[in-house]
Amino acid sequence: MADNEAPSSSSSNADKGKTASLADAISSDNSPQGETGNAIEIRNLVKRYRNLITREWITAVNDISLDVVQGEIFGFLGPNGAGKTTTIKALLGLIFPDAGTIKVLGRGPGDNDAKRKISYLPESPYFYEHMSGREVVAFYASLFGLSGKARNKRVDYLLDLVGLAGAGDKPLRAYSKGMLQRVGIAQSLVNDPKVLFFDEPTSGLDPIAHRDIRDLIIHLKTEGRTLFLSSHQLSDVELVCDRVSILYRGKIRQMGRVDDLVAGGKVEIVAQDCKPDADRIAQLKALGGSTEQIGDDILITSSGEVASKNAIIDWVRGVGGNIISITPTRRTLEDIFIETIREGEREAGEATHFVEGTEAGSRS
Amino acid sequence: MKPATRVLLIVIVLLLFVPIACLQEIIDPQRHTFEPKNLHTDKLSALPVEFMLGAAVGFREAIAGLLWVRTDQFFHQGDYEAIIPMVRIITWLDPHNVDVYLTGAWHLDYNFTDSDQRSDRRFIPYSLALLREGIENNPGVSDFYSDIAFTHYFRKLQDFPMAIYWFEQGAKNCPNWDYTRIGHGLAHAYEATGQVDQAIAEWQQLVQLHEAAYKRDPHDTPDRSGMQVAEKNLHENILRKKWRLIDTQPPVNVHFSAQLERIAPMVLLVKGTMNVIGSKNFILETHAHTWAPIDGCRVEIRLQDADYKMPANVQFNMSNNLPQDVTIMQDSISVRGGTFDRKYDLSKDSPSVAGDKAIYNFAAKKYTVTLWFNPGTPADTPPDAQDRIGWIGEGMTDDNYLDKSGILPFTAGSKVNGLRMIKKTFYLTQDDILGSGVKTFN
Amino acid sequence: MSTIWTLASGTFGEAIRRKILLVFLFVAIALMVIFFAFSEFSVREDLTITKSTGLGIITLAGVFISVILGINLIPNEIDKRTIYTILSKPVRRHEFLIGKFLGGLITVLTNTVLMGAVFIVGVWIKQKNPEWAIWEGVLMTFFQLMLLNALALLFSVFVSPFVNFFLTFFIYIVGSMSSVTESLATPDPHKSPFVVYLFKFIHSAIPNFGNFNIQNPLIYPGTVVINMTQYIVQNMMYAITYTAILMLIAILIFDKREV
Repeated sequence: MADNEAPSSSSSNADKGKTASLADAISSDNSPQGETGNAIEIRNLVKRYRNLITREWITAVNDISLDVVQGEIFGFLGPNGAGKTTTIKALLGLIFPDAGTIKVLGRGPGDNDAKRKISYLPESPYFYEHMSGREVVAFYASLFGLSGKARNKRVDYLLDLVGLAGAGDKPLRAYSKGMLQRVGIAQSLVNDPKVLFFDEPTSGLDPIAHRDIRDLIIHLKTEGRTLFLSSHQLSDVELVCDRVSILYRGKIRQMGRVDDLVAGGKVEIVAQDCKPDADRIAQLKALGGSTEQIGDDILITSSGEVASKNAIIDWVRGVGGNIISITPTRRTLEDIFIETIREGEREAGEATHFVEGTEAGSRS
Repeated sequence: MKPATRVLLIVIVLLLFVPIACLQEIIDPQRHTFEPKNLHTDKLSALPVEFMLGAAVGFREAIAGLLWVRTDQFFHQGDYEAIIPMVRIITWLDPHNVDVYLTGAWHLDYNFTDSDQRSDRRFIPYSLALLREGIENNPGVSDFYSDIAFTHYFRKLQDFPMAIYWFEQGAKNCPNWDYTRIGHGLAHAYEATGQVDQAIAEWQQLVQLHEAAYKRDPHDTPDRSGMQVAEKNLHENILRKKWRLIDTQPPVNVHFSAQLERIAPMVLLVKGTMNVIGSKNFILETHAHTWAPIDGCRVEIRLQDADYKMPANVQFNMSNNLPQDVTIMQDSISVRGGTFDRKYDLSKDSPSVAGDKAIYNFAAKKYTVTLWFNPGTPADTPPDAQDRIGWIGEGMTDDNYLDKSGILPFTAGSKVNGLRMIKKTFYLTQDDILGSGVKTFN
Repeated sequence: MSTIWTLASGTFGEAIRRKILLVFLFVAIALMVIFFAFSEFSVREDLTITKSTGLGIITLAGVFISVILGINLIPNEIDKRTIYTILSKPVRRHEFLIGKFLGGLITVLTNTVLMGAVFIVGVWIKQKNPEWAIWEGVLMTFFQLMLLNALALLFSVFVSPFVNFFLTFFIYIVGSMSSVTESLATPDPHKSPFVVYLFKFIHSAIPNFGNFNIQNPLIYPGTVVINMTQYIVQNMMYAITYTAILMLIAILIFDKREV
């Protein structure tokens, strides 16, 4: 289990200064008290469902806690059935937690004032089919109290932004999946939200649409908005997200900055003819390297950071050894993801016979 | 939603049921005025389910209307009995379809007859019940009152006091009473009971009513002719009143006699004499007249079970439970040249000949055959005769058969004060009627 | 309140385009036209049957439209997931419910007015003079349908459309037989007090759709003596109060409903 306390708080402190100035750049009208606080706070969220057929209780979300600061793009990852959509719905007040607290922009979930500043793009969104794209966006704009010229202006702007200016008047049933997704994004921007919840925004899209949306997300980030992104497109997530969490079977298994998570990449240095004394070995250990004797050679594994790598090279040279090879082992988010899931599966497999009474919050 | 708000809303919901219950209490009686009554009867099972369902969801009047059209077909096919349950169902489904009551009652009165076109009187109590029900459900509809008064009490039952009662009810209860039918009928009924002053007052009122309507609409032909009729009757009544006060004294003896013979099983022969004197050429304005025996009077005859009394308060129902073993026959015989005679072959409608269509069952042991002459009955006494024998027989007498009780025969005791009537009753047994050979009764 | 209006007009737009509702509307109008062409009966019977049938068709078609609309309004939003993007906007749950209800109601009103207009024109042609009083019947029908719509909407918040259809129809039929429930509620030596109280409760508590059926006094205006204005106003109050009850219950339930 990753230590999710320390890294996030240190990174969030570093980011806070940045978000403060970006937040000023965004139009701020009657901002909620969480202006300088977290965009999203989840504490010990638990949600259970009852399977209608088997009548079994399933714990979809099992005591998760996380914070999302303003201005960051937070990736919420996990396999199907991990509890991602459940968590998002709980954040939006569409469903109600069994335990734990949720705050969005400092307010409870479903708070009407908070909703003025957030938006949601669900997975494969549906809209009223009888409407045209323009009418759909206008409909949502009306829900924010926009009307008349102001509304039309906003609708035009948004359609243009998402590339639907020409197709705005066609009925929705004539739209392709990509166009529907664009409509979805347009409606999610209609209120100039501070926090956006995107659930699989690029699923099922052709490469061009995919690329467009990814670029849009990056653009949103430069505008200082907070984005809670749930996605399977790990390459996208790695590219755009500041931090991610990996959810499996209702529990957060990993959480942290992307860089930090993938930075688990190591470097393997093979050296020859090293003859360190006890002091030198202690020094190597202090540098954070682990050693393995392979015949006359030493295999030193250390973190991939440049400083650390150089220090070890200097150490080898210092003990009179020769560098045979320096091999970096790079990791991707996908690797982390798969590792985490596998680990979770193993635990679950081992834990099944402990399930009664041990796993917190669940009933069988 | 805050818990406090939830509780408040729940309380409000519960409280709102109070005005709902109150409103329902107020609405119910109003709804009764136009919905069917008496739901616990056999009617519910009489109709197919789809009709009942249709009636429940708002097609009640349409279904009643369609059933009525179907009933009309029965009539044209000659299926008279099938009409009765139809009338019952339709008037139950739609208590305000006035036509159905009126036509149904007419049907019962006139369309069931024996082989000689005499009406089957066993139906009369039920047609009255139907009309009474119609009045109960539609108390302000003029046609009911005029029908019940006129058709039954005037023609069928000759119960003038009851006719007066119903006409007066009509005038009182109906905001738009049909003064032509009710008013004229009432005036004539007053005449028939010798209440001449009331008749004159009624005619005067009618003249004014017709005149007012005619003035409002000069193209109104019914009121124009109504006015002429009322004026004529008023004028004649005033004069007749004056003359009859003198002319009817002393009373003339009509020398009534009657003989009844059974000439074959269920075949009766009636013979008799009655010398009514009247005027041949009466000129009302000048009082010029000559008295002489005149034709035109009719003697009523009624054969019935000795103990039969027309039931007063029956309900009109699906089958009417027609009393199969009651025998009633009523007719009127015209008097010509001072004599009257008629043969009644009742065997044609007896069980042996007519089977289950029999009207005259002769199941009772004892019978009465009553002959009577009521000088007040307009259908039985022309005005020329009344000019001498009086409005209600004040100018008539008889040595043997004068009845001064004033009780009208075969009514529920309706009385006309001062009525002088001729009446003779024969008492027969079942064997007397069913026996063969000739038998004379005096 | 503009939120409610936005939702209502969106709902109205959607409902108007739903084929099944249009089918009922057109069938009703076609039936009325056919009936009006029916001149087989005598004039007096013809008018009675025509007026009764016309109002009956409007009511029946209206019932189907109301029920089918009502049972699907909320479930469709949930099944099609359009509700997610709406409830994530500053739309309170009760605003959503009321907006949907009003949209459905406007749809029912439009249909009823259309059918009513066709009917009145038809009677006008047959009778050779207009009978505006028929609008009273149409008005009462509308209030009846409003109540029915609210009932279907309430059930739709917690049962499936399939179950809802039968449930709503069942209550409609029982509620239409107001005279029966009332007569069963009258004390009688043959009846057990329990039965009497039960039917008294049913008669008072259940929405009495039978109250709204004023065809009889409309068809026989001279014969039936009733203060029509008073009766109509009382029933309007009944309908509005009961609708408020149903909507409040729906709001209470929907507030806890997970979507």
